[in-house]
Amino acid sequence: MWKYIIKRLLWMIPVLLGISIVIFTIMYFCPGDPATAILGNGATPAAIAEKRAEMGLDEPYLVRLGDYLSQVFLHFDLGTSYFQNQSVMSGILYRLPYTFAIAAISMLLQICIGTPLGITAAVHQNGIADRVCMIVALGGVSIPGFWLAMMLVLVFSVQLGWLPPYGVGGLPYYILPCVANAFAGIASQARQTRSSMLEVIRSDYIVTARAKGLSEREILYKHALPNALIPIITVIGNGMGMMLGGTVVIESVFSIPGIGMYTTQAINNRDYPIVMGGVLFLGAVFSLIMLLVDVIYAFVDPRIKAQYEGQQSIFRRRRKKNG
Amino acid sequence: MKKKLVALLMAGCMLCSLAGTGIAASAAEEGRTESVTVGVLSDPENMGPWSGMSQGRIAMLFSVYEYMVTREDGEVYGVLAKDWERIDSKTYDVEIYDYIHDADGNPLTASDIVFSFESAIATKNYSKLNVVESVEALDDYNVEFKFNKDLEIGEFENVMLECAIVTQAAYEASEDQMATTPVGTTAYKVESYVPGSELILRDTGNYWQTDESLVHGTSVHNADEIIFSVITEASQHTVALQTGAVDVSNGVPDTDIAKFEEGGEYAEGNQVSIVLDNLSYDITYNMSDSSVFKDDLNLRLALAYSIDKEGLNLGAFNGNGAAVKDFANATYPDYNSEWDSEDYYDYNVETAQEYLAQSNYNGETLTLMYTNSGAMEILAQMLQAYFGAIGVTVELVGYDQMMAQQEQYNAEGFDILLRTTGSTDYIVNQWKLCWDSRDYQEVTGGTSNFTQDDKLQELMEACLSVDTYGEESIEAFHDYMVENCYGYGIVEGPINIVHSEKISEIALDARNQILPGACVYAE
Repeated sequence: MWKYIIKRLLWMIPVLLGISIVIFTIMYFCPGDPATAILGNGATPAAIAEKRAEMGLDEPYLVRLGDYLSQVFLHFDLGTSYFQNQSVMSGILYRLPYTFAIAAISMLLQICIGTPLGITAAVHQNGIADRVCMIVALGGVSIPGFWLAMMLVLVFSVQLGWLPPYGVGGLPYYILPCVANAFAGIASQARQTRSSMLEVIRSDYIVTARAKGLSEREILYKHALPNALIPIITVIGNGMGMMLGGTVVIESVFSIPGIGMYTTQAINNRDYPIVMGGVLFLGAVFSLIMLLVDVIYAFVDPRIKAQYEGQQSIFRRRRKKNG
Repeated sequence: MKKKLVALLMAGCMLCSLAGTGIAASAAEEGRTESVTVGVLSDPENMGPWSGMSQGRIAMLFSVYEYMVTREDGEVYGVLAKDWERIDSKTYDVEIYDYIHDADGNPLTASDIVFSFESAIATKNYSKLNVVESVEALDDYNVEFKFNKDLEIGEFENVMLECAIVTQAAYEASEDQMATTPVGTTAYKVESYVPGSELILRDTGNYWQTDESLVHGTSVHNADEIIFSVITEASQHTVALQTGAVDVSNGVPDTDIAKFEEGGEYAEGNQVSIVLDNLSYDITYNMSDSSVFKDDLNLRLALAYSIDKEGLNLGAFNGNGAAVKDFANATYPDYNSEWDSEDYYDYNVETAQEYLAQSNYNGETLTLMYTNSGAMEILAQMLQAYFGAIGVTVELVGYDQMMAQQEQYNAEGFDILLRTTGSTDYIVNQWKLCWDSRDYQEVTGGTSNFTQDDKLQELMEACLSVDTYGEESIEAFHDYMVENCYGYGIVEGPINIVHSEKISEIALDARNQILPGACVYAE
């Protein structure tokens, strides 16, 4: 198992290298000029050219790409912001807790609400509970996050005055952003759980369990749910990755100084080091989450664990054979 | 013992109440407030004195840093500079006050002025400082500035206004080059800063300029505490004002302004102050060799006469802006008020069609390039309709600000450019932003819109030269521009500032940013 994890970690290097090259290339060819942004509207072309030269922006593509890759992969440095004159890594680490808090709480809501909703819908297939759950889920998938966010603000902040409309502080500040952020995830989770559970509860071993006289509760939580978990875990893993990277809108609406807002502001200013660093960081986090999901698969399903270990033993046998 | 205890308690209570009265009295001082919260759309990002300019930074700059001079209503006043003298066209001597100290108490002398200017120039972030050859301390309170060219009108003041001044001691004591802990010479010092969220400044109570008659707008400190609250979503500014979370904001969406005006649903306890922006919306034609406008004055005039400027003001700004008769309005000290009554391509469809009939226009589609944000989008659509009404087909090409700035120097990128220009000093310096070919020669071969006209350049230089600047040269340039119609101003937008009734008078700096310290408070 450990060898599998190490192998996957090593695979992350080419993945991150690929992400770096792609994002660098996009930013290189992206129109707009950070030197112009720094100097402002009134700057003359001559002043802009001088600033570009000072920032190294007039170097050819390959030279700049080489410099960037060596800086990131040999010196583990994501660079320095053009505007803030601050290390991008420290900027990201400062903002990470805000983004992580929103993603984690949203994920918790997604799991705690979406999974029971899906189970209820599956157990009462085609009944009222199923239809209600699926209407809620359909709403969750269809309603845009920013619209829901503004509606929540209008109701809970403006009309009722219960919760703060924006900013950061204690737990109350996270309630509206997390609910708005989690709503679509809850819907996806409920739909995926329902579909997986429906597949499982029609299996022969569930019929056998019923024939043995086990209680519905035991059948559901001891036999059906564990076997329906693989696709649910996949949705959770993808959801966590999406929430870390996709809090941009929520952070903007609620003025939360997380990674999403940091990156959005950088895109507007053409602050390339922050944009590239932010994307690379989220890419790395997403890869780690996917690895974690694969590892969890092994713990949930012994067949997958055996498969991982089987791969290792095949490699061992091949190595012995070769030499 | 009991009596003593009671006496002590009573004495304590009396002291507390006296102290309380003192605080209340100080807070209730006329025009002052204990705390004001300003809603801003962007984070300052880096509050260092010489870092790159950004929207969030502009909002807090004058609350933390002072400059050598300040500009109010077209007049220049010394802030740190007590006096200045032009030695020759390339040399100025500046005397600073001999009792300046920063918010940390470090004394500020001529060597700090030299340090500040040299540091700012080294960053290459301030193109207006490119004219500075050297800065030298003559003694503790006198500084000599040498320039690498003969200075033009307003240029010396602009140099003095470009560099934030700090003491070398405070700058070197800062661990992050003042990015999060700026120490300037204003009355305010950063109490706390949560990047991307909130900046709190507090009056140190130890401002160096004790002579009230010498304290100008940017240095006034009527609030004991200033909180800049970063609210990135414009509609949340409406919510923040409505719930009383902020006291003042210039970030409320245009569509929500009416709600805060008299009779509006959020009018109670709130007011709207409207000031004309010093940025004007201008049309410039592509005058490059391959452009249809190059040798076709009739087509240029046809489009100019087809625009209903009052209609643009109503459509884009609810009538709160103003149609302009040059590239700017009367807020500039060198604006000639007689222009207000002259014909400046006044809307006339018949005249427009006559010019169009005499032009070489053959029904081709022209492109109008603009920055796709805010009012610009509405203006572009309205212009398309006006041009369409006289039979000129126009395709809209909207870019984000960065891309538009780059594309404006691409001769093949557009036929008509809708853009904003503005200056904080003289109208001639606003003209310079487009019509001084010395600044654009290498890129466009002429002015910023590719115009190659020696006479225009001669008139421009006459306006900018200290020796020839005046009514005559300004009038000559204005008339020549009207005659040749290479470009023209169309409308100026308003800046809508929504504030609670706690603020009785709004104060703005030269860039029309709110100066919370200088506002007058009703409390």
